[in-house]
Amino acid sequence: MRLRLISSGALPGALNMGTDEALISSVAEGTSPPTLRLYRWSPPCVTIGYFQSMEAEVDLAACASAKVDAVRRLTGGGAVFHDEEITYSLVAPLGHPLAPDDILESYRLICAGIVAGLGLLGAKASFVPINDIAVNGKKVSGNAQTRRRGCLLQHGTVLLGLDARRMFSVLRVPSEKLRGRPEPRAEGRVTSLRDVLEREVRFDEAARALAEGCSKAWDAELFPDRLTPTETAAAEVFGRTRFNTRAWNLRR
Amino acid sequence: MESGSIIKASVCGDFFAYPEDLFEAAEADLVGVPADRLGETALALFADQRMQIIGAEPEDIARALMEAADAAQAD
Repeated sequence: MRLRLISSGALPGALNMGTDEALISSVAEGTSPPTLRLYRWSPPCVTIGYFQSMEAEVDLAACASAKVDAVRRLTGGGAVFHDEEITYSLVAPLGHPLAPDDILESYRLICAGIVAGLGLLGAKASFVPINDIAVNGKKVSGNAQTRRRGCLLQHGTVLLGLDARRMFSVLRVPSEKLRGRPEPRAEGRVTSLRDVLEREVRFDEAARALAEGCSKAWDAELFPDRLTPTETAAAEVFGRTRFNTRAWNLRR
Repeated sequence: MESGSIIKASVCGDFFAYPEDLFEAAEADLVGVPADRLGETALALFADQRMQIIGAEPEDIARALMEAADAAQAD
């Protein structure tokens, strides 16, 4: 299979999510091929799952104070603090080899690319169903998928570094999530490539490894390209009219 | 809740539902349901075979809704 590979740099959260939605549009309309996008976030941003309550999950006052954005995703799942990380999104039409009817299987297939990429960096990672990737039993990657307009969008993060204090200053962690766990601190459940590999992993190195890992695991040829002008314009519109609005972000 | 019936239901959490709009339709279908029928109605709606919920069971959702309704009625 052939996949378009896009590296779209560091963008604000609303524009990142707008870009993912623009890719759904263009792939759904058949004007773009299946696409793997690699990106990061500037400024740092909290995203919450489609079904989460913003107020319950995020301390918006702390976000404003720390200049951290807060955006609701199109995908379900949990709250994520995006800072020192590499994020990927894959958009493909349903029925594509990476988008079988079996949703759990598609998570496994797509995450296999990320696992392979982490292996190329020297991290022995494993897929933890439904949608996590772990190293040494600690989560290093979370992934979330939606299916809309006949397409699959799966996006996920790989933590390059982790400032747990900063993360938990903006995320509300319900006490019941921690109750009864052997590690009293939530940050004991997650790790980063910096901690695992005991060295800094720069974004560019991680991007090359993830692209190569996905190419091998998916048996896919990746061809580097850019967003089309239509996609760029659509991303800005989606970012402005959906992901940067209180009506969307506070809808639950 | 109003006069013992649901006027709005919103199920929030860390889960996935496919397709999302069917889940939201199920929430909307709870409007007008009397509290004493909330559990069985929610169970039926969220067990809809056209929908796949990952990370939550229909029983969990029904229970959470009933607890919320009890709390709302106690206020």
